[in-house]
Amino acid sequence: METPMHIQEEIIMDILSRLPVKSLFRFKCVSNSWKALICEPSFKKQHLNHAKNDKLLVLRIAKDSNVFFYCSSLLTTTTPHQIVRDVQESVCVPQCVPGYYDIYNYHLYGSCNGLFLIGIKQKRFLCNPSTRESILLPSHWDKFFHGYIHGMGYDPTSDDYKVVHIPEEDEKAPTEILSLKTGSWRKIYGGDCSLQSGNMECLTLLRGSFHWLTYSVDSMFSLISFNISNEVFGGLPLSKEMPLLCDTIEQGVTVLGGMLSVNFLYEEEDATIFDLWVMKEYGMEESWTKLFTMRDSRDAYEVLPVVPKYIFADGELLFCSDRRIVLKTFKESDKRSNLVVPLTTDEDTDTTRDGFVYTETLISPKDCVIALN
Amino acid sequence: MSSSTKFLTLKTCDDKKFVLDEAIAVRSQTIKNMVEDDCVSNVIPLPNVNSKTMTKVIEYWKKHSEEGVSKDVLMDFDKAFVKVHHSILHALILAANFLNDKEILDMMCQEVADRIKGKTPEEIRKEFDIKNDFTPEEEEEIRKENAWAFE
Repeated sequence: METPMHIQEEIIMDILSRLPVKSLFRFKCVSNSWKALICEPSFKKQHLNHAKNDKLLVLRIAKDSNVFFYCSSLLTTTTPHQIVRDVQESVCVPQCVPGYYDIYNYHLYGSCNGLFLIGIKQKRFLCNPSTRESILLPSHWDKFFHGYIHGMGYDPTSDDYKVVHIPEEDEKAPTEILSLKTGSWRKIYGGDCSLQSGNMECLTLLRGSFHWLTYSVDSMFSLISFNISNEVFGGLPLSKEMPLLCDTIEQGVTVLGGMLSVNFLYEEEDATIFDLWVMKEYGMEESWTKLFTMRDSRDAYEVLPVVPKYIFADGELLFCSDRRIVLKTFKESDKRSNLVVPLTTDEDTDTTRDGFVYTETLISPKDCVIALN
Repeated sequence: MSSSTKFLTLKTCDDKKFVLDEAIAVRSQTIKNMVEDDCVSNVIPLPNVNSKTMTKVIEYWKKHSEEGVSKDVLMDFDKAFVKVHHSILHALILAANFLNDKEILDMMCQEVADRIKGKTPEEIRKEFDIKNDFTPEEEEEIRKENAWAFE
């Protein structure tokens, strides 16, 4: 038999903070002290900080219009075939919102630190798919979620999850902010930064600010930020080489590898082009770099439009397209380039483009909402 | 090697001596602090580390101090380095903690995490010598609440 390890609690904590949520839920019954440790808020934060193992959450719509969550881990070695196999073998996450699965009334309002804010018909839920916990949010918040693009983020200064909604194509309408902790919401006028939603499901959070594209007076795109802590609007430069005239087919803002990224799908001289840019140094116009271009080829026709989801450590990119996952490398030598894999083999399946990259967390939805009544 | 190269002598708990370039030895924050505070006499005693473990640590330090080693080579080295017997892994964690070498400690903690993530609570108790202080009813209750984690 192995000799048991006798190591300090501090190191045990370090080791445990590297484990998947599922293992930790199992290890709650090791002893009272392990259970207490795993449920401790400071340990949950330490665990979250360690969560390098980003995962892809794919939303699949089954024949009977039910919504299912599937997930697959994203490592450098992950191939698209593996992701698809994970999805098809329905690894892990089942529906975390029991009872309400109708896809046509389903909305994702935001995701942050492994928590998802989901709307199903008139009901709003805060879910943690990793721990399979979800809570129903008070119904008097319903009005808040009407007709806007949302984003959810964590504000470290108030230790609170906030949901922001930005008016779409209406610059007179106010921006509204909901505090999940207190359940109160406020309106901010004068932002003048209505949103061109494009291919964005929800707002992109980076460095404590949400980011999105808007039209400016001269019908050009501009990049707007809104700080979640001090609630101040700001602007960021775009590159003059981007298709900034607002006649694109689709556009969006995402975060790739910790960098702000914008993408444009547009037509130019009868060709359809998809450009993906990243801002290597936040706020620096000259640091905008075109990471990837896809133009009129068989592959492009097969997958466009695409939404960038993830950049692997080796620079390979993962896109989601209707019912497909595309793993694309820009290293010419790599055999994996141009791999396009259908997500499901089920022809009756409705289209879906919502795949979300998220981090596992122990944080319970209950921890985030105090004013539940 | 330049004439300014200084050597330190480390003495492990089993009285073995290791002579090491100071520039390499200061990968240990503990040794670095001692050097900076000028409290290094001829021999630095390492009362919590045995010679077998110290040999492994020095092997790591030397490899990671080599000039012109490619990232891939280091990655392969690290991969092989952590594939050790349970007891050595344990000793390396204690040594890295005592020597205050975050890099080795980090790598070893990750290795333990990878090894235990699929284990059952019973196996964990054995591994870390933990007494089960739940009543059978309490344990059953927790298992029921988290049944999905046992699938």
